[in-house]
Amino acid sequence: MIQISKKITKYVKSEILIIGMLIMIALGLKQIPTQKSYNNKNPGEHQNRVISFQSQAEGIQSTFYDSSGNIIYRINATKQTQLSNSKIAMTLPKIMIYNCGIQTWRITSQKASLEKSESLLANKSIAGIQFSSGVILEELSGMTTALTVTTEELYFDSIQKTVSTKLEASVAGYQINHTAKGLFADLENNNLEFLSKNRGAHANSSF
Amino acid sequence: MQTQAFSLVALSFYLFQISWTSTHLYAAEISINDKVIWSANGKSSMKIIGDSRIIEMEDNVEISQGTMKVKGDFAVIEYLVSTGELQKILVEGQPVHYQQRIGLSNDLASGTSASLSIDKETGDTSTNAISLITLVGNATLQSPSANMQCAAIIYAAELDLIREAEGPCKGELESSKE
Repeated sequence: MIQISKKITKYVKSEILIIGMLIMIALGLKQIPTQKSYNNKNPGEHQNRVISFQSQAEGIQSTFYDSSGNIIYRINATKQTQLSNSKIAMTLPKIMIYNCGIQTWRITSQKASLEKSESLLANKSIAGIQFSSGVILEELSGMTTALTVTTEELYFDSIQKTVSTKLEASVAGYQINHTAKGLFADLENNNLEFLSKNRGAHANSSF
Repeated sequence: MQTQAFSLVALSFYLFQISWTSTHLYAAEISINDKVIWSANGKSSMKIIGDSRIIEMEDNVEISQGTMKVKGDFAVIEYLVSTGELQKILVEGQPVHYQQRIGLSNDLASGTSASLSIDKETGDTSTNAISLITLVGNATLQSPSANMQCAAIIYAAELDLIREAEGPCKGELESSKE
């Protein structure tokens, strides 16, 4: 009798152990698909966490010189983010362009992107800056000849000291305004060229 | 032919003298404060040479000031940067078309030429400055007082007066103004 009860107890224990193991296996199997579906629901989350810039700085001022040591331009930005070895994004940039040591033109905008590249022809690195959103190009002569150009995009070639845009550009100055589509300006010689669709006016003339 | 042209030029000078004395009858509104407005489909440029700002434009150019309107293929506008004073307008075309209302009347002056320039002629005061319209190359001019075709015509629009004409010319001039 005692032997029988011992066998029953042993049987019950092993049953309980087996049931317990089955429950654990079942729970384990249930967890696996949950984890998989969690991963699948957010496939891009991991990518978003990838750091997409090399460095970031605030309140930066940089000065660029030519091979003779003359200032070409000085640039300020409230925020500067180095996206790669050759590309820098800037927030609220302000650039002062120099000619023979004198500030001649200023460009401001909401944002800008500076890109360095190697010029095989010039055998040196060149830096172009693409300004965008509320771009203002101002002549700093302080004379009545001074002009102000507004546009939405403007590319500055630091070597040639030229600016260009394919978008509409408006020029305003003392008694004069002129609007056209497309602009190319030589900032050293103060020559402005417009590509098409010109219209303008001159006020208070003597004719 | 040359004699005929010479006599026409002489006649125009004579008419100038007559009309000069009666300019008060044709006192024109000298549009000192009127804006010069321009438009062009093609390229244009803006540069400074000396004390002048020079604006050049091409392709379907239209320039207007007050009642004056000029159309052509290429134009140069020049003004003094120190004062903002407009100095010269030059338009070239095949041909250039010119049109202007004369004085306070509804009379029109119109003309065509290979090139047209508008220059300011300073008077005793800035208010009596007049603009001289110079039409050069197959120049034609129709105005209340003249209907002429010459190699070149210089016209004082505010006075409705042909100041000078270069032959060979043909056409007619009114001998007096009512």
